[in-house]
Amino acid sequence: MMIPVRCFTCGRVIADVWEEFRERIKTEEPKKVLDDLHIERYCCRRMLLSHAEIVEDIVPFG
Amino acid sequence: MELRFLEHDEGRVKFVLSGVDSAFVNALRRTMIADVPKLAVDEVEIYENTSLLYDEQIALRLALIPLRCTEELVHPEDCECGGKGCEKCEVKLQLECESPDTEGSITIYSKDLKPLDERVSVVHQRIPLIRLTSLTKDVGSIRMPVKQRVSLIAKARMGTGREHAKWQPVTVCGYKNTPIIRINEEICRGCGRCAEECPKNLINVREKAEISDELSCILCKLCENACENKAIHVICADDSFVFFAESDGSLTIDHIVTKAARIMQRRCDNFISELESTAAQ
Ligand code: SF4
Ligand code: SF4
Ligand SMILES: [Zn+2]
Ligand SMILES: [Zn+2]
Repeated sequence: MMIPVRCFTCGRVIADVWEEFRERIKTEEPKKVLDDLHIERYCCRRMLLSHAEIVEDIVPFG
Repeated sequence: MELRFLEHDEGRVKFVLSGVDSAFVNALRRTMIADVPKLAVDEVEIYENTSLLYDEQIALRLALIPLRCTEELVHPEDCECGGKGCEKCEVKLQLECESPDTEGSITIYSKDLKPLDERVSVVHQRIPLIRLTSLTKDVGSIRMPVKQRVSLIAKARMGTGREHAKWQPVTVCGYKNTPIIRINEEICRGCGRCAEECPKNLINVREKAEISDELSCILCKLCENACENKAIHVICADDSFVFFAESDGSLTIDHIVTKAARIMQRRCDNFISELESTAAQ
């Protein structure tokens, strides 16, 4: 629903770069953005790459 | 025992530790993960929550936020207050937030969590915590604004990774045996098969195979299997280790490593005094 605070596998905090990531991938290559944000391990990278933010979508049902 | 740093800053460290056995490095690793105490939100008093997230979801998100404290608090179990919560073993943080006056949404970040104690601070400022939305609903002929509100007090306490992962001070923490790669120059033909196989691209072949960065080798031995002449051998040193650890941000990595070593030392001291008192009986 909302971006998980930490990576499920290693526990690194990943939520703090989520908004920057979401904005930047509109114009840039995701690989480059992840490298820039120092998200090194593939466990953390998939957290951002595969996340779907749906908290807005459930507002009408809240 | 010999120590050589490969990487070292506030949050992460990588070093080669030689002259010890795997039991020692593994004890260090496990102590760093499970026994070094740190601060995390443990109890949340929720006065109001009309957001889309359940109380439990908010409590979980709060607990995972790394907190930094200028002084080391006492574990509630060891505190003179008996675990009820006092200045020495507990710090409080407050969150009061409301959706906008007009229709729309705002995101509440970790920076909106206000410490009620000057010793404690939030490490990451921009962790999205909650999303609050204002709507307007038609009730009969009147348009009513519907706002969302969250009001809570979070109590943070010391704990260890053994109790819950939110108290684990490290993210990645592990080691590998130091790799030693031997190339027999007499039988190596320089065919380059090993270089093609190596997933870390450590092998360069000019006339003979050469290794560029031995310590990055992941000991997969693909190069060994690819070589038809058996000219390359990958050996795991059994008395030398490459150790890597990363802090989650709440404690410096120096603090975590030294604290873990002190805990191991204290355990051994306890064991010795126990031995001596039993032998004296
Ligand atoms: S595969 Fe064997 S023979 Fe070929 S370059 Fe590598 S070590 Fe030498
Ligand atoms: S063991 Fe694996 S990583 Fe190491 S040099 Fe051989 S192929 Fe490369
Ligand atoms: Zn990860
Ligand atoms: Zn107390």
